[in-house]
Amino acid sequence: MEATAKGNDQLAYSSGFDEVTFRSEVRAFCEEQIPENIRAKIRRHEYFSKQDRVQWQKLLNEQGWFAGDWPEQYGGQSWGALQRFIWVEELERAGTPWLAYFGVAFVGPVIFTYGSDAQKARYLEDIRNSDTWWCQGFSEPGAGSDLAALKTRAVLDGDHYVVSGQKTWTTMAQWADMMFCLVRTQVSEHRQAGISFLLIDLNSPGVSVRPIETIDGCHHINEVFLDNVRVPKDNLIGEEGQGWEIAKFIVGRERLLVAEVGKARRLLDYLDQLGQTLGEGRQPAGNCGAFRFRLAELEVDYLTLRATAYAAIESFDKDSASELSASLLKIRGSELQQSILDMVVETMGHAGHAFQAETLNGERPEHVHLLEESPGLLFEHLHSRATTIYGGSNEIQRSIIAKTYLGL
Amino acid sequence: MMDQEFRSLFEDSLNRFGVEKYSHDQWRQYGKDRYGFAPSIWQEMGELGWLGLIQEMDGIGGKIEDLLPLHMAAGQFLWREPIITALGEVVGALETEAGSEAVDTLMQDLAAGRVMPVFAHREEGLGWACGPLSTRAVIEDTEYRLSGEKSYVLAADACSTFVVTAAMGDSQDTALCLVDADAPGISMHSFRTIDDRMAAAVKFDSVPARLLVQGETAIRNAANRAIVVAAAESVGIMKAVNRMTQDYLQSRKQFGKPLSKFQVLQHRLVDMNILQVETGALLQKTARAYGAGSPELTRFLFALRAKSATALKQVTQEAIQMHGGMGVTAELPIGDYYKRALMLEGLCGNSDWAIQQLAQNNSTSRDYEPGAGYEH
Repeated sequence: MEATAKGNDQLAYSSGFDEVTFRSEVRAFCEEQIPENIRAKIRRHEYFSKQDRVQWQKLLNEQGWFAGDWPEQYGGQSWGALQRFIWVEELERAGTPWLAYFGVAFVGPVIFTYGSDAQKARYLEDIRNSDTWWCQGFSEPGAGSDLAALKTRAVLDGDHYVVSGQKTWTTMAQWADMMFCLVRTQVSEHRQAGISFLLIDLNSPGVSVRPIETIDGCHHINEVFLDNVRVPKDNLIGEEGQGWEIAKFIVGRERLLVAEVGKARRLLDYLDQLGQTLGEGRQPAGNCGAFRFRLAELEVDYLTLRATAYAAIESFDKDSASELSASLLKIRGSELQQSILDMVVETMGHAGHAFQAETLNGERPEHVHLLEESPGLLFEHLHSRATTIYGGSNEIQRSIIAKTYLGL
Repeated sequence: MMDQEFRSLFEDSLNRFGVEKYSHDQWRQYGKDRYGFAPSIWQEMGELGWLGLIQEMDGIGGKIEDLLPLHMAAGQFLWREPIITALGEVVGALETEAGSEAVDTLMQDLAAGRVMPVFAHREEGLGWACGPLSTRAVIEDTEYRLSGEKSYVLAADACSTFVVTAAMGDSQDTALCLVDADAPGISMHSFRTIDDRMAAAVKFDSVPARLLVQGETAIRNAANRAIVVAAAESVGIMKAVNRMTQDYLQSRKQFGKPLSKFQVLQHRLVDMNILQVETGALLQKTARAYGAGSPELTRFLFALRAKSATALKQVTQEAIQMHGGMGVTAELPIGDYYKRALMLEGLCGNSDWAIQQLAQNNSTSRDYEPGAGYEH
């Protein structure tokens, strides 16, 4: 893989945009155009509501950025991976709401890659403008790492599939209108061959969504029960049995999205500040040698992750992507986020830990222990424990590297 | 010193209590109490004679090693009672100060379960340091009056008594003062802590107080004993969590076999067990040094602090990871053990802080100065 580099942020292959200019544009947008209600929540590291996210995504769509990496014929700007990566990095650095990629990065590209013209006409616009909220029905209680073990069954009955089963770990299903779902249309010896990709309207009779309470105190994942749900056969994407191929298309994209390089930078900068805000023996806790040393180690990890991410992204644009890179980014991105948030919470320990969870919903308690962003940061830390588990656990990612890259 | 037979009976009693009264469902129920724990449980612990072990009687009790099984059980079963502050900090501060009437009375009352005292020390900007304190005790007529704000007092709303650290008058000489929870001039803001218990910011406004002990040594002793008992609690947590993780790995099947058949996971579970055992060994050694007043004690304490913090973090984080998606759900107890682990770190000093203390004093021949190393 060759990339002739002109400098840190400029690369010498024709990418159709100027990286420096584009990065400045996005940064300026973040400095000037984030609505005040969202800005306030950013300061407090608060959990964003569905309304906040839709508001933000629509704003990005107005800029033509939200589906920027979609082909022009589908309303995008045909951005390469590099441009999208720079865009996301800057948005993360500014602490803006996490982009719900189930629609715009997963099912949208699935539909314009594998779907019929009728399906494209039906779904793509509402994905771009965030008028339809999507969720991902993949995992099941018995099919986590071993996704091919899934059992949700879809049986053709005239013009409809009758779908029964249970999906779990369905992020934001409580807000969703539609779910893209891996179902078993055929029971065969080769488990992957009988899997199909079906779009399910969550308002259909027989669908129930039940929240799963997580350790971070916020509600974001769910179980989805499907009890003889009738799904029009027009909602099948591609052919029966093509579901596994489509799933691989999605999980491949998912790995790239979880490096969260910009978020790491934001948290590191915050950590440095926190060390100055909190006291130890009435001196800044951050003046301690051990603190500075550890922060420097995290800086090394951050710079390494960022360099690796950019190297991988360039290779994707040149179609010389390696299987190693995507899994590596997922592994290192999640581990770094956990390490930084470990240090954040350990540093907060100087003041003693509180968890005033009511503030995550916007309530203001009479007395705030420590800082108003403490609950938000504790939430981030607890949530980060899942980053090495979701999106294909880091154990699975290492196995992927071992098998497909090292050939072991 | 406790003999083996007594110790076995004690451990059985602790275990039975945990199993019968502290299932995870019961744990959740107790948490709904406004104090974050059920006061009747503390009373029962008193009635069982466990609190009495803080003092020697008929040749049993009085040594920190005698109480370690209790602290381990507190970790294993996630007991919500304010054990570290009452039996760690308060006892640590007072156990070598026998002779004053106020101290003796408080210790006897605690041993009998008649009081629930909590240690009120931390102030904003203080961290884990012993000083300098801004809460002050001034003499007015014949009694002491306490004024100031303690930023983080565990179980403040449930306690019967505060043991408050304060600077005397205008000086920087420090003392411990006894304050009744229902004394006039106390106001507090309570909040939930990360481990689903309660703490509060407590303001003292010219509150009448009794002098217990003078001098900074008592404050340091409180912190020292807390390090030991928190390490014991950590070992108990590790024991519980290692057991849960092994059970899960042996029962959860993916790719046609139980997760326990994957060698990578086996080795990591082994590492978790190694951490539990070696931390336990360092704990016992430190506890013996504590009781003997060994000159090496300070070095062992900081080493124990650092080791128990990093070991507990690794074990609880690994446990979550190995439970997969289930590990981050509130349905399983694992997350609650993890949150207690985070809490313990904030109570007694994080591992960086402990390493810093050791690094500043790397020579075995020098006296230690806790708090040194923070540059001005």
